[in-house]
Amino acid sequence: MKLARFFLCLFALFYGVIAVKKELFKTCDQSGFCHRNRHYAQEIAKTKKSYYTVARDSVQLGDSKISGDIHKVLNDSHVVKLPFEVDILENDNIRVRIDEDRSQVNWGSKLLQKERYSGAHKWAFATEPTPSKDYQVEESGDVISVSYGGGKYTLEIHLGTFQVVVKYKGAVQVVLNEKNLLNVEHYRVEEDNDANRLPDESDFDAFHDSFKDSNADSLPFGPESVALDVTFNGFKYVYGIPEHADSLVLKDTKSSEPYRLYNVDIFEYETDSKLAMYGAIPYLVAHKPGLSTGVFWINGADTYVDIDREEESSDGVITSKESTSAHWMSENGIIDVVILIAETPEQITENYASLTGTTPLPQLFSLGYHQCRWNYNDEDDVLQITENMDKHNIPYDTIWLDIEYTDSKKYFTWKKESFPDPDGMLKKLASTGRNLVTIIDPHIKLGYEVSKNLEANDMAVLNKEGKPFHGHCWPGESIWIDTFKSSAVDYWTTLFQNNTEFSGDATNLHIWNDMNEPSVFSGPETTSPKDLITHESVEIRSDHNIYGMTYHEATFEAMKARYGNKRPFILTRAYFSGSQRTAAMWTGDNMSKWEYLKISIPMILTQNLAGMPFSGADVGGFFGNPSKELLTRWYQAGIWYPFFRAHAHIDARRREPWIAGEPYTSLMTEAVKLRYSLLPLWYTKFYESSLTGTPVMTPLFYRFPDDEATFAIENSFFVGDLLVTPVTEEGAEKQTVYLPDDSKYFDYKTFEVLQGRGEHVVDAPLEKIPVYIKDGSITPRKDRYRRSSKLMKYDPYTLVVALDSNGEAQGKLYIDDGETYDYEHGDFVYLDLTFRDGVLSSQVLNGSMDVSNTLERVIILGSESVESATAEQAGETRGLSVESKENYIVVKNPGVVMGKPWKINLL
Amino acid sequence: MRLPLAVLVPLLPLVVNADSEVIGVAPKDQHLYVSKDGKWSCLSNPEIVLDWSQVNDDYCDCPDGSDEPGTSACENNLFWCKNEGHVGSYIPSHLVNDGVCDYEVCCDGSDEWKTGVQCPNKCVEIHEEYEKDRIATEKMIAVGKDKAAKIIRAAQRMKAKLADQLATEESLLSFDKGEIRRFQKLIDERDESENADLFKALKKTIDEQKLLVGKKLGAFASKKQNLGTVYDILSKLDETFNANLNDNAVKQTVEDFREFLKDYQPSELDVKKLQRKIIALFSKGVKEVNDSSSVILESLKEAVTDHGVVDKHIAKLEELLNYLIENYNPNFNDPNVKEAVGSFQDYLVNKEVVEDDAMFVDSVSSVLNTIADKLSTLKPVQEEQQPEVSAPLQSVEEGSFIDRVRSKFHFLVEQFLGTSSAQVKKSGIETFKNDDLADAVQKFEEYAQSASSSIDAINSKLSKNYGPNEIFRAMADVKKTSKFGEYDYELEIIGDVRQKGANGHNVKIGTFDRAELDEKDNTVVAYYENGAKCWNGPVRRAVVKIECGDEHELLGVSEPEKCEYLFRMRSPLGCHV
Repeated sequence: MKLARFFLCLFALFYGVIAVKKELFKTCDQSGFCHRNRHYAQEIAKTKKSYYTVARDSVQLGDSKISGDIHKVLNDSHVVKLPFEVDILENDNIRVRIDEDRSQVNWGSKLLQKERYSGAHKWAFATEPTPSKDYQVEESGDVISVSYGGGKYTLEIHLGTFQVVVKYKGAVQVVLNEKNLLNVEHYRVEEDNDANRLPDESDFDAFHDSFKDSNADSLPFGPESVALDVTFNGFKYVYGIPEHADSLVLKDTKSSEPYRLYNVDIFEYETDSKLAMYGAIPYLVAHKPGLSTGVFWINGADTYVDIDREEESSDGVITSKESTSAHWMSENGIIDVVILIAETPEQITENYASLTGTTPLPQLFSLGYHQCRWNYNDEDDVLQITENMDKHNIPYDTIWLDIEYTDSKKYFTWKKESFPDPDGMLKKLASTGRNLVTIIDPHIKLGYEVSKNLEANDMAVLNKEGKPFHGHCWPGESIWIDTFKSSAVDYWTTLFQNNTEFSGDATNLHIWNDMNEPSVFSGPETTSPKDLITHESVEIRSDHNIYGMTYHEATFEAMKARYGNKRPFILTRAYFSGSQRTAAMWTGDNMSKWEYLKISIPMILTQNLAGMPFSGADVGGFFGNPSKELLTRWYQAGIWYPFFRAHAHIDARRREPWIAGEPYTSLMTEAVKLRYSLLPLWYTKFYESSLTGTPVMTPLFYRFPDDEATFAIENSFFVGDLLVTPVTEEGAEKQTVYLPDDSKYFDYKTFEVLQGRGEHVVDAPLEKIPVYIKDGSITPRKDRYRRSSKLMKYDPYTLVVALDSNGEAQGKLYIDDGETYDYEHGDFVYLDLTFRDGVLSSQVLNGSMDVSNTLERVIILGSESVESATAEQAGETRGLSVESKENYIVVKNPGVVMGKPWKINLL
Repeated sequence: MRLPLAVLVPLLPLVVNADSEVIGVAPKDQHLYVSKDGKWSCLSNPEIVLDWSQVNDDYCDCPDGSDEPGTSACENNLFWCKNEGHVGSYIPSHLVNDGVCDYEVCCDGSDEWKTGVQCPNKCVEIHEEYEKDRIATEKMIAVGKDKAAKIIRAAQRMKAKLADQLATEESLLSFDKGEIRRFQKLIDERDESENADLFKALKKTIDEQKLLVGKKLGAFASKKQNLGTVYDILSKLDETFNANLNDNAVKQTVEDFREFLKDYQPSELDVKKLQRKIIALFSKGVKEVNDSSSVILESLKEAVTDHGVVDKHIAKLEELLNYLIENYNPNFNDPNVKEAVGSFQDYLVNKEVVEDDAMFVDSVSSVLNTIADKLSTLKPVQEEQQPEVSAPLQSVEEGSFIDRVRSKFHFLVEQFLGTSSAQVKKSGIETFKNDDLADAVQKFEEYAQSASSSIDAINSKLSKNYGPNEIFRAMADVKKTSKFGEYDYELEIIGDVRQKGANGHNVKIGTFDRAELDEKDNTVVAYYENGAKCWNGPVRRAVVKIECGDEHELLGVSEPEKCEYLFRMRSPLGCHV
């Protein structure tokens, strides 16, 4: 009896308490605009009606742009004017914008601007996109055709029923509004709603919100959503639109919720879910052999995306459709959409980065091991962690302080009793190259200097009456900084200056921006009410998903001002397209369970293909206590996250690597050391990504875009030329590894060869991370254990050369000082490493820095044994000894300096 | 920048330092590093012959790492810092040439000889500091040891005193037991003198009823206690929850609780007291039980009615808390809500399951009726035949008479350890009426109980692990309080450890359990167990690591594991005498 109750109670503990509070978040059905647009889609599918047509005489063909008016025809006497513009941009991007002409609307409010918000692109774009010069326009009847991309692509604008069609080599690839789901809910007052409604439209929650937590929403403009369908002809696989705890390939949503993009503090989120999460990148990629396309829906409002890619036959068999379509629905704003197209997914990502920017080269330390916990209690605790890391020979670079370091959650203050001397602590950390990251959130507690300044100088987010909005978060009653305003950013910058009580003159302090969705405990869906007002006169309804980005950008600008020539490091939880330019992200509050380890990989791969590669998940899981096995496997997987941080909840037990004991401690230590030895590779990959925006952790289909078998692989990825398939199953002794081609894949540790395209089952006991070196590659390493990445500065390099069937290999290596902006002035070297005809050579591709690190050894895989070797540099030659093993050789101590060209000849 | 001369020339000059010693090798091992015709062999693998220039060339050739004593090329190597003027020491090779002057282990700065990082020799000042510390420490330890010796003597005296107390209590217990046997025998004799078989049977029935009623009322009492627990959880939640956090489930719970309070009248009935009263009534002789049967039944009915109300209340309050547990939003992290949820989860795990059965009163009632019937068939003369055990004493003074006997015996035992109970018995005159025999047994049972618990307490004190030389035994009432971080920590050395803070925060971390010598680092470690339970976690505990010092002094506290506190302390207790 007692036992039964005990289990009941356990049950309540695990299933009742620890699970996402779904009822806090709106389903599509409960969300006015999503409900209405799904309803509209259903009706249109039945009636096949189309109400949107281009006014022929309004069309203008300008310089790389075509504009005019779309008419939404309610009836013969009632037409709504929707100005549109199509731009032909560089990199074969096509941009389509549809606005609403509100010039005739009688609008009384001074607090809100009358026009729809059209500024999302200003925040998302790195720079205004350049119009293309390479195109030709032709008009023929109801169709305007534009040939672009050197004639490879054709754009058609259909005027009768408004449609935009993109063709590649004559075949249709992407169509906007093929299903006639284009919907712009134009302005009307509630009394006139019926006269302004099409027969296919619902008026659900058009002027009032019936959801229990947001029924105070004033909806000042009534219904004003925008929606559009995009069809990808012949594409079965679509990706992107993070953030969701879901598979790499987007799923059909006909019988589920649509994917929602709305930045919310989703607590204890579920896996395999389409619920909104902390960040939103409204960018979707479709891929098929030979062609990739993307759709970038530039809108910062609450957005849902329905995916249609499967069909069910009469006998209930579900199959993939030949084509996929996406139905985009946003609560307001304008339609501003860019269609990207290219022959490879890599190119598509580069084109997206050409619009929104890349992740700038981070400081080297930020690619090291981050140790976090809510909370390290005091200075002693922080220094003890460092001491223990050193005692156990675990390299680590950064310790983190969560909210408890502050005085009563007042950011920019310290809890003096526990942190009497932050400067001293920072200096002690700096003595071994360590860094500190402290949390600074956007909710500012009432009644102290910072909030007083924000209120007094009109720098806070406002409520619908135009007064600073008061809500609740960690500190209790708070206000939120409005970082859309440049005045607020300027003030924010002063808070991070040198020689303040907060940060002294430290140069090893960096910032974590959390809760910037914004998380509002007292708000609907744990975020801001939608009728708050940001940057002067824009409802947060329109720019909600952008708020988090403006906040971490403000922090970035502030830290850049503080550090001058040093690169800031910012971690953010909320993000939008463009966030990659100033922050890394992590996947928020996951749980210590195997399924969260497993889902972290497709989640981070999605971040990589959506232009935000500097991403990670909390190693070990935030909530709960991982088993020793799970923790070990999580480290073995987490070292491959571009951002590698262990974190734990305040109620979780301590779990730093030395706590678990043997063999776990050694296995975790070994994993972290592996991460550190590969830092030269990581740094090189981040450098390359900073130029092009391409993934650092790369999905298989990026490398093998014509092999359909790779399109849905989400448990395996490349970092450089290392094929990694982390173990994410409890108790696993084996792992299935898919080899995407017939190259030789060398086991990372034993150098044994795995070969043959297809699946291989390999041994994967707890001490094994399945990692394979693809042939034809050169991987740079630094193999010596040091306490931190900074202390590896003087260490020599090791190169692992894996020869392909022609006996050739190539790789790259980027080196700079690891922390300053000097590389922008050429203070770096980017090396081209090539092995051909028995000669390994290094050429400086770019940059010129006096790099004195030497080459310690070269490990050559797949080579016949050789007697000896010579090294050549600056006209001098030296004999080298070579150690030949069964399946590899080691060239010992070549001693050449890496900053200058050199050659090693095998003899 | 550095390494100008490249690299391609063999790196000869690096093998030795200015004093022609091989870098990183201790003086005692320098003789192993000698070039033989420009060649040198790995120390553990003499078959591997290297060029002398390969020693300290920053490339690891020997499997044992012996060719790189002065660089970081071989993993897990040791590098010798001469530290002239101070104490030479080995440091791990990964500290060599990493750009950091590791003065704590290598005061001469010789660990950075290749990176260009300047590490001036600091051995003179470091040694001075070291010597000062060493002398002060030695002095402190001498004083500490002296004090420790005194404390140990005090502890030994206390132990001897406890042994005396134990002997006293044991004598008392044996006296009390003798008295119980004696009076019990008198009662048995009395009952046997009557209708023996009938009385025996009735007595048995009564004992069964006593057991039943005791159990039932015990169950009622624990149920009532449960009500108290859930009630307390809710009223505390009501008082402390953060209404601003807008957790609807919490608000709903509190609202419902307030609604509940409107009609709630706490029951005044003390079930425990009632239980004791009825048990006492049942413990008497058969006739006495019969006489008080109406009192018994009345009381039982009262208890049952009360229980019905308690049951209803408890169901309601559990329902409220179940709702809270399932619906509250942990994201808001309100510690008071978490505490309420945690307490209720503990309650659910620990609560006794009470069978809700009020019918037993009927069965008790019918048994009592049967007894009455049976007794009424006995001959009335029996009443007069009831023998007097002895001459009467003023009945009002029976209790105090027994007390006097007992305390006289106690006095004798303390005066002359070993006095036998027989000597005392003679001093009392047995003047009990039949009615009073049961009371006498009860009285001596109480005495025996008290002696027994004293004996247990003394034994547990005697057998407790008070550390080396039982030095902790003398620490009763010694208490140290220090503030670390935001809390005051109060350490009663052989009592409780508590954490105190603002807003009446006062949490027990643990109670002294044992102390042990840790020979590895020459400290004494005291363990404090069974503190207050942590939210969703284990019970708190503390470990106090004590190094030798001249005063009791708390040096610091950390929480190396959630809810496990590690104190560092300096005290004579840590001085190994």
